[in-house]
Amino acid sequence: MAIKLVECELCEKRCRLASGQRGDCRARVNVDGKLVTLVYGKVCAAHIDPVEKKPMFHFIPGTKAFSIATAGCNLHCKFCQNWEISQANPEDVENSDLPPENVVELAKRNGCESIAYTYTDPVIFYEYTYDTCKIAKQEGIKNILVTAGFIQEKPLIKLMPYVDGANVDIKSFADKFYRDICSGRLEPVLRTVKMMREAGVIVEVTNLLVPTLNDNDDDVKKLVDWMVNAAGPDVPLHFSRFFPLYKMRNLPPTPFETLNKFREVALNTGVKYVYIGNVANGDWENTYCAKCKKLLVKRIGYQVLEVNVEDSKCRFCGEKIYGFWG
Amino acid sequence: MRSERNYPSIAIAVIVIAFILIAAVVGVERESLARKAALGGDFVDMDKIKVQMQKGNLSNHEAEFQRDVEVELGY
Repeated sequence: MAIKLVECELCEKRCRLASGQRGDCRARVNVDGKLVTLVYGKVCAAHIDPVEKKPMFHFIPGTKAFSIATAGCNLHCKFCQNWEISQANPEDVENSDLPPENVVELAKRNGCESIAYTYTDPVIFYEYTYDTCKIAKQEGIKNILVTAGFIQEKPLIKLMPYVDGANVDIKSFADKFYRDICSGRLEPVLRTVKMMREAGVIVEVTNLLVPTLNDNDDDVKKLVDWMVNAAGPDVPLHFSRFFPLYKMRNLPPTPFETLNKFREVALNTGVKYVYIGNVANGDWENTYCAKCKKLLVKRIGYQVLEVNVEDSKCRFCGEKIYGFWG
Repeated sequence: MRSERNYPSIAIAVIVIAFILIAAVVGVERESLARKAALGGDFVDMDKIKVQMQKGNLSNHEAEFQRDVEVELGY
């Protein structure tokens, strides 16, 4: 006997769902043999953030990003910083009706130069992201994905022409960490970064360092080697500080020494732009020219105090600086 | 005489009950296998979902990337 299921071809979970069953992301349900998204145009979070908060440090610094999210996520990271919405069923949170054209209108009205699809993961609200990106592009607003990059190739290829920037979270360079802590896999994420880079999307990478779990020398060295050899040495890398949340409240925050040590490792390996996130007020927030070493962007927290990049080049030595500088 | 008359009825009743029990067990087993064949999250309360769709808290926008598959239950 055979039973009929619907396979979701959006993310790499490839859920096969019986009628009445929801996907692992919580946002997609097989309703009478058809897969529907419960969250199209139903935002559970909308804020105006500095683009530096995404974090995007090489993408029109000092501008505002209209930031939206819907409930659910295709990964289940035990350290998730937004678990109240990412690990919630869409029907259990309060959603606001915000059609794509209204998102773009609100972004324009509030002086935002970009729209960020963030907080949870835009992969799970793909159709909403896609439609909003298309309208935004027509209206001259930039689109930024903040994502774990756990998406199949076909939907990614369709979306990328409308995406200008992306911060992709590489959670570890160990597949076991992905499987045990995040319920994902590493390989599709690396593929996403490479595909975005090849498509001309301005990509930045974040790696949240969780004490005792993914802060070992071997995994971080593999990551920075891959950054230099595969993603490209000019792709900015953000080592982000972990704070005990969700199911990982037993671990301490990442020591600054750990973050700083790996920043040095990455710089010495050849990654040109390396930052430390979730630790305010330090030299690690600034951008320096990889050639002449002069200060290009001075930041304090999310504030941008000085920009010395002109026509995507260092004002002092003319070195091309990766990013979109407006 | 009286008990002889009842034997066929009892036999039929036993057969019917046995049939119902077997059907129930097989049905539960098939449902269980069907659930095992499906790879995803929990089963939703469809009434609750549909009410929320009507109220506008949830959408019922058709997903773009999907395909129908058939899975053999194996017996």
